[in-house]
Amino acid sequence: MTIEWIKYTPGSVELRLDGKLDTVSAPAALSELQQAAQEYQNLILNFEKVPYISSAGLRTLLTVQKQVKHTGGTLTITSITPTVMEVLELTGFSSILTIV
Amino acid sequence: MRSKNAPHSIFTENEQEANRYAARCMRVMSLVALAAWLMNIVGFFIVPPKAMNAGMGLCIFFFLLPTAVCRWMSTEKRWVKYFFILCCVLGITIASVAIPKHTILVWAAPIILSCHYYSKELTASTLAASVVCLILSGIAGMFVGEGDPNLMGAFPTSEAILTPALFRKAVLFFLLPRSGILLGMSFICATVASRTHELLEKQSHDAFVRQRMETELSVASSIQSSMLPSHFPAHPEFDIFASMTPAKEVGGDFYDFYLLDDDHLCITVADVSDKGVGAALFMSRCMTLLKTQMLSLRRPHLVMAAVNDELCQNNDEMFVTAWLGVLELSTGKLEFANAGHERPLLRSGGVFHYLEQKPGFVLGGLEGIVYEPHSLTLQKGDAIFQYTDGVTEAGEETYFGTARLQETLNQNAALSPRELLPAVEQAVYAFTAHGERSDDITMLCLAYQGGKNMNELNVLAVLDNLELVMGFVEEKLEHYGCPPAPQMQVALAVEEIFVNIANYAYSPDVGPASIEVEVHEEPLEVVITFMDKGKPYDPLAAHDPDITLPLNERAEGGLGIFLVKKTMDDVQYEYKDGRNILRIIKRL
Repeated sequence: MTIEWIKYTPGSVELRLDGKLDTVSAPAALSELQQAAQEYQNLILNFEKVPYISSAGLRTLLTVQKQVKHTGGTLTITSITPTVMEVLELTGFSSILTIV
Repeated sequence: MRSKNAPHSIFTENEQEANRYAARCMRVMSLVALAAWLMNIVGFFIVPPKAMNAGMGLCIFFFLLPTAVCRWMSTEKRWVKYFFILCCVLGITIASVAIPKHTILVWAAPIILSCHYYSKELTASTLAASVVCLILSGIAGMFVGEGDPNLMGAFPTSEAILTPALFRKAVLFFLLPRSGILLGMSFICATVASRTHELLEKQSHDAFVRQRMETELSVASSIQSSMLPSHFPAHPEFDIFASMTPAKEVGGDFYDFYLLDDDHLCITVADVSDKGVGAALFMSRCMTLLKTQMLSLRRPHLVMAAVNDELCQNNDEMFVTAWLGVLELSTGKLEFANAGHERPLLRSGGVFHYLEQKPGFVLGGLEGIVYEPHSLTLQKGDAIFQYTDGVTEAGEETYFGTARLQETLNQNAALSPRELLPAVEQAVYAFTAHGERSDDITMLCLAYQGGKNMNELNVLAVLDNLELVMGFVEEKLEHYGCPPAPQMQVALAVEEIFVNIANYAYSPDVGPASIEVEVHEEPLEVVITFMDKGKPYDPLAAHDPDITLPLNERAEGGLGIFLVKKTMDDVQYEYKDGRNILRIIKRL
């Protein structure tokens, strides 16, 4: 998985994730997202190129979401694919994440 | 191709031996001459001292010349024997000039000596030289030396006056008849020489031919052995070992094994009815035919029938018994046919017993025989042991026998083929401790280690192997044409379960896990079974996480199995034989 920092506005950053967010890629993704959350209040995660997410990926999102909320920022997920959306819905994550 | 060197070498050898013998004889003769000389000096003999001193000195010199030659020169040259005999003749000539009446019988010596060379030419030459020297010495003896009363009978020796008439009489009535006796003797000697020569020649040629035959047999034997496969490759599905210990004579036993393709192994054990080079040639023909036909027909009983018909062409003398098996490695199915061969033993459940199926007729005996196909399925750990009658018929009065073979195998049932065969051979040797083995001992053992399940992956349950597992499952699903959406769900479930096993099953140690992918038809579904030997743990027993809780109350654990349960149509868990077995089913 690669993460591309593409758009910066004051206090916000858009990150484009590319690849599977699974057990293998989750730890690295988590540390990079946490770093972004430290530098910017609001994170926008572009999930257009994430075809697959497993529970490890869900935990990553949960951790980052908690961290962002703690600092009073927002985490928005955009361009989500149906497969990933299905997983988020099945696990109730769709209700705790901001998905547009 | 007959070598001319072989018979000759034996004569060269004999010639040298005869040379040494002749030299020895002449040494003895020189001692006798010396004794006569000394006795004359002390006055025991009354030969004129002048003649005696010169004659005996010269005579001893000639008699000792061959000894000197033997001592300081090579005696390999062919002329040496002529020289030795000549020395002998000259020595006797000198002696008989000095003391003619005492040396008459000695004239036989050179001719008899020449016999030892087995050469007619030499004996004839000796005769010629002897006759000439006999006459010359006889004549010379009339003038010098002691004189011969036979020649000079009419006169007292000391006063002899040689008249022409007397000379003629001496030559005609004494020297010529003596020469005649020598001639007659030499005929006998020449016959002895030539007959012995012929005999030796024949014997040495026979020995040469025999040695050649033996060499050819041993070459045939080693070629035969080299035809048999001697490399026993390690293979995940089977373990094979075979051995052929030839008896003294070249026999016709053989074994063979080869892969027909990735999934089929052919094994053969056979025994030609005869022995010798002919049997070895027949064996190589059988071996080639069996393999050629097997590679095209692939069914043991059909191969037997085809090879039998082929062998019956232009063959009235030999036949072969053979056992042919084809093992399907993935399933353990063993197809076999038996043409008059011993029944093999099957190790099943750790116990060897003879297979029941009766053998068909031998190969090469009668055209048009139909062979019965037989089959059985080997389970993991089963083994087939096949042999030739050299094993069971070893022994003199009592045979090793089939019962003893079975007993020996069962005593060593736990051994691998590589260890089992030497153990059986040792038992056969121990049984025939004093008897010579009359037949080849051939054995082959094939142990089946279970089919490699193409749909099963065995890995160490660690996160590093996750990608390997995912790749394996995806490849299988794609192979079965699974649509993308369910494929993604199955992949998700596989990841969650494998990660669980890797993280918890053996924690803090690591251990193995196996993943089997099956696709069932009606209903069309994918079944994936995970097995590990870790701590018993039923993931289905855990409570599902509450997915309605607000963010702050959400726990991070339990999501994986929850996802599996949600996406799969069925998830089953059981703990059996020390293993956690988790099965997920996704209908397509």
